[in-house]
Amino acid sequence: MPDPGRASHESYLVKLPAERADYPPLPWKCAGATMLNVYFEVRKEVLLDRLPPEFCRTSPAYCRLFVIDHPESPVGPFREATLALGCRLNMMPAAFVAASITDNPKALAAGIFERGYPNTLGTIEFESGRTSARALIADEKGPLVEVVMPALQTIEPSRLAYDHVDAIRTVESDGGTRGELVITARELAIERAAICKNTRIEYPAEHSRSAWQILQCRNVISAQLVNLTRTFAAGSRPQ
Amino acid sequence: MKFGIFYEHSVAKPWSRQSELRAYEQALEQIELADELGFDQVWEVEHHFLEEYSHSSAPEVFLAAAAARTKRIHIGQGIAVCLPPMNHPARIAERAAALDLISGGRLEFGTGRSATWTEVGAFGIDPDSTKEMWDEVIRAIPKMWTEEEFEWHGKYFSMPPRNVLPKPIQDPHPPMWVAVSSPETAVQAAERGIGMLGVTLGTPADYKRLVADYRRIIRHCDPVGKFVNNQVNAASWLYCGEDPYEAKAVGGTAAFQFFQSAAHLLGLGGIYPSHAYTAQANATALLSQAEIFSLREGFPVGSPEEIIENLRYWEEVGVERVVMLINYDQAIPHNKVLASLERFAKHVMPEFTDEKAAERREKARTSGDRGPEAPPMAT
Repeated sequence: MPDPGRASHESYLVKLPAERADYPPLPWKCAGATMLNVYFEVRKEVLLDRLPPEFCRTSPAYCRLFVIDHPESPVGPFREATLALGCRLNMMPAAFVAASITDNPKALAAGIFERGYPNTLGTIEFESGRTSARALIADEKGPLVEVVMPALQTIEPSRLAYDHVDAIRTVESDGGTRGELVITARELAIERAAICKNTRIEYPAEHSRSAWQILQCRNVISAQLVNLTRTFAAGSRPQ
Repeated sequence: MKFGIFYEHSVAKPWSRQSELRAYEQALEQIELADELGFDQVWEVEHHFLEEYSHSSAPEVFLAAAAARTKRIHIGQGIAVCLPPMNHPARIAERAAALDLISGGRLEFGTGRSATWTEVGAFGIDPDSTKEMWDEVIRAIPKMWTEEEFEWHGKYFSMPPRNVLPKPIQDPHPPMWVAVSSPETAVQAAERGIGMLGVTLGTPADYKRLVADYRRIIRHCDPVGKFVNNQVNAASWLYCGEDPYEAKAVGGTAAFQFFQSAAHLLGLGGIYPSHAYTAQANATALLSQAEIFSLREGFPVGSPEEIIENLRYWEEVGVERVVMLINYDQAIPHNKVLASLERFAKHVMPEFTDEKAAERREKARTSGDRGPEAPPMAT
């Protein structure tokens, strides 16, 4: 029977900036973006520890890690990396954000206030070519995870579809803060796609308390590199 | 129309040391009764590592026990996974032939290739290759059954000359089937002259196009076996209740629990983009609770009268057989499952004899009455 998560919404609260940052109103249409996306298996217990009870795990438990490079946007170039827990919401596929990083302060502010992610500042190296791609994600403590796609094969873009992404957004409430679940969906208009069958996920330095490493890859399922237009929109409450 | 039952051997948590044993023992008792009552077939799946949903990884072993306890009911491997990294083709042929001997020639041989990452990924199989693997294996197995010196040099397995033993008792060999959950596979079944074993729990409307395509194409098939098995076997749920309310409360709840369990499996369609998996095998599992409880037309969960009406839809679509899941673990108490089978045999089966079907066809022909319209295609 369904195996629900056991993480509280409070465990995902972030500190809101003292002043609401000055960023352009959402949605931002970001043409020419490139996404590196990888699905991999993780241990079910660590996934359940981070999954809110509205969601249930799949069997086997898996994560989705995606890095998007936006060369242009209303806030200038920015990159974003998200680690999401593969799950089911009301029996339907979903992905819940367990950790997220961006390298752009305005994208960070918009993420925190409008959609729950990205919610941490860090650095993201991103390289993509016709035959290979690579991303290295780091926070203030150093490198967390590296994804390497050594051999890309072009596929028909219509074969790809990505589930909606859900996150906890921190909102002010009665002088304090509380978490509310929000959904972002239909953000990706895929233009070109490739798969990589020998993708590697590596952990260049140990950060044993970071979600990026606690949810460690046990087995890569599939990986794709996608050229797309990304609409960075505000999250909405689930129906 | 012929009726069968099928088993996933679902075992819901919490588990004890007895949970799986109880599931197997109750299934064997139900099969014995089904045999006595005149059910035509029992099928069992092959799945690996699918916690709760299916603890049925060694169907040949279970079906051998079923064969030993029964006299008439056909024994269906539904299916043998035809992927060489998972099952060497010679071992598939050997085990199936042994089962045919033990059952006295009652084996129905279903083939397939898995639809979950859990299974395919565990054996290190590239999902893109599974369709080709299956196609190679199903062409080899009939030769193993019928040739004394079998030799094979294919893309996915090779063998020097060997006599694969034992040979099946059915001459030339058991009927072959393939699990069908997409329009593409229905066409491929027809092209190869093998039976269409529907595995998506759906309604007649879901099957209508598949059956039409299958019937049209199989007339010009190039059979992989020694004969053409032009038959369609649909899959559905069965609970024949005391009355409509009891049936929906008991059978509907069990069906919902089954679909809920299926929805949490990691199907290949969602996370592994592959030309070999164009359809979501678990699409039916994503029916909402409201849909399950409304029990769409053609779903044989209800009173005997309701089930007769529902099964007439299947008859009109042109399936010869309907094979039905009868429980999800202990969701329906064992004694109620047995009672459901008995009610079905007593009240429903007599309405679907060849004579009754012929009468209905004749009445429809003379009156212009085409009977109940099948519901619109699901989208």
